[in-house]
Amino acid sequence: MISIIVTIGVALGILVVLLAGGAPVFVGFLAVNTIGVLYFFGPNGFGLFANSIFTTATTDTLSAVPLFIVMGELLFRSGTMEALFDSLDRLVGRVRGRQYILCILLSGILGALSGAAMAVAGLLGRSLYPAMVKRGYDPTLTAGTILGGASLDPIIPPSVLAVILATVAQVSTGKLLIAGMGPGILLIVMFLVYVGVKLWFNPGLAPELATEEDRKKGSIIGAVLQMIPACFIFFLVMGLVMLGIATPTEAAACGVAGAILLAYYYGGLSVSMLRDSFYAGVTVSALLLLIMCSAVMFSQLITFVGAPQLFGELVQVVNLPVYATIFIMLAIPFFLHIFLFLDQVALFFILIPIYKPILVNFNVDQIWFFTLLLIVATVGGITPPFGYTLFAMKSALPNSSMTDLYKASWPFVWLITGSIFIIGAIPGIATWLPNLMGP
Amino acid sequence: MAFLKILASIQDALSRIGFVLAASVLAIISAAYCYEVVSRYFFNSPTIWASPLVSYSLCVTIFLALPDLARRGEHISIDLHESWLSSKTIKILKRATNFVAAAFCFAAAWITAEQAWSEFVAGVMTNSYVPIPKWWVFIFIPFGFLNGGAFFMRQTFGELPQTHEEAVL
Repeated sequence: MISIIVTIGVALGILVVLLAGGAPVFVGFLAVNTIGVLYFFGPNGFGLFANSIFTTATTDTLSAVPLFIVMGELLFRSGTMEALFDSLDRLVGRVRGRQYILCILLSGILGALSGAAMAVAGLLGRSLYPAMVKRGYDPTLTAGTILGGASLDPIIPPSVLAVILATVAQVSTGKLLIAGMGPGILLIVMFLVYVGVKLWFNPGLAPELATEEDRKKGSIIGAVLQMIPACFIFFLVMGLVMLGIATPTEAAACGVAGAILLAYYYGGLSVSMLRDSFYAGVTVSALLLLIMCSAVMFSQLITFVGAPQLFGELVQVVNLPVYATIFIMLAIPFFLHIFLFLDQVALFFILIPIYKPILVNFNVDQIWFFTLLLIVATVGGITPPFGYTLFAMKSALPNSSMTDLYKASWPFVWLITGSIFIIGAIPGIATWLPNLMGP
Repeated sequence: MAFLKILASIQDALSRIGFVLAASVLAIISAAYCYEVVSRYFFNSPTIWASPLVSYSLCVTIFLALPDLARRGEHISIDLHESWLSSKTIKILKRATNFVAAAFCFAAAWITAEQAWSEFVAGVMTNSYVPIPKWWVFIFIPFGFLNGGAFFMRQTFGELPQTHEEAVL
């Protein structure tokens, strides 16, 4: 038992030292795996390592990762975002603090289109934040709504992180994608209620309605009609998956085709725009998938040294109630992410081989649990002091201090943490839609 | 020295071409699956080649893109220490991590090249509806690691990464 803990401790130690020193994440895993394979199997094990890279790189469900990213890039560059912003602006109407509402809704929609929290925090930090502060909105609450909204992105489908998590956990990619829908809506509602309550007690957090004269004019029906083409993409991708017409990867490919058609519709289609979208798609997805290819062997080594059995036995010996065990299983990645700076994908590879047997043993709904894990991995991004999304936001707002951003993010950390307890208590929020899909 | 410069410029060009090819292969992945969905649901005629083509293409995309990502210094890494350490220490640390990255990329290139060679010698085919010699796909993995490792090695000696303007294709 001690030898297993020491082995895992040494492997994690090497990984953390390399990552903290600034080595690329995939190199950290390459190093640990090369040393690990050499230690356990000798040079004869290298074939196993090479084949684990090949098998991961040829996993066709992972093709959804670059395709979703290309789809998001096409939509960002095509004029779709402007149309959506314009429609939302008209739909929100004349209410005090309307820009907060707009910011949260826009983040949710951006999440459906991009799936990258850091990118959305940077984007809204540069564009929406200065405009809102200039109009008299409270800087702290504005930064908070952007951070909270950005953290919705890996949860709301289509989510790249969900595809990766489903592949590592070997659960249905389609179901895990769809499972993010309920929690995503719940979080949007919680954020809106929070902003409403804050404004109720302190109306000074938003400017007077009279000062906000630049609201877009136009009918509600016109605004809804303007949103339909963009919503068509979302329903094309998620509808095909839910109806069982296409796998998530096929739906993602159709989403790319739909996004090209939409770009043509909005007049933004050009060769340079297509080229830039595919270049961005290759860059981001290759960075992510390289980590996956290099890390799969790490999970296999963890299994080989007997860590899953050890932790399974430990859980049986400690004999905690199921919910207490699940609470601890969700708290571990949260703290590892914050204190060891471990990347979300890296965490999945370290923990999932250990968690899977425990989930089977307790007969826990894996879609429900992995949806909760996805939210935990996401909230780590905005949790002070080292959340990645906070740093993306800071780079977009050079005049803000980290202390201001910490102050802005805490209420949203607690709201997301609260949502984890709600989804934990009412699993149907995550599992209702996936269960409609059938086996 | 002049010879090394020529080698470096050839490697730069190779990485750029690889990246453009990776983006083209990604477009092929998208087109193949769109064709598959239309063919299956509108013409009741599923293809047997779309899924294997996408699988092989994904591997090609990742490892053709790797060298150019290393050239541009665009890998996912943690740079929190950069706000705490002096610029001299950061420089030394960057060189050290680039050297480690180069060493392990070379090791991975050697490991995967050896495996690709053994697949070639044994005539191993892929396990799919459209089997092809496995080394046809495998060979892109050592290509990516070898070139990526070479870029990390060049960065160790302070030559790279290039400025953003140069890095943009």
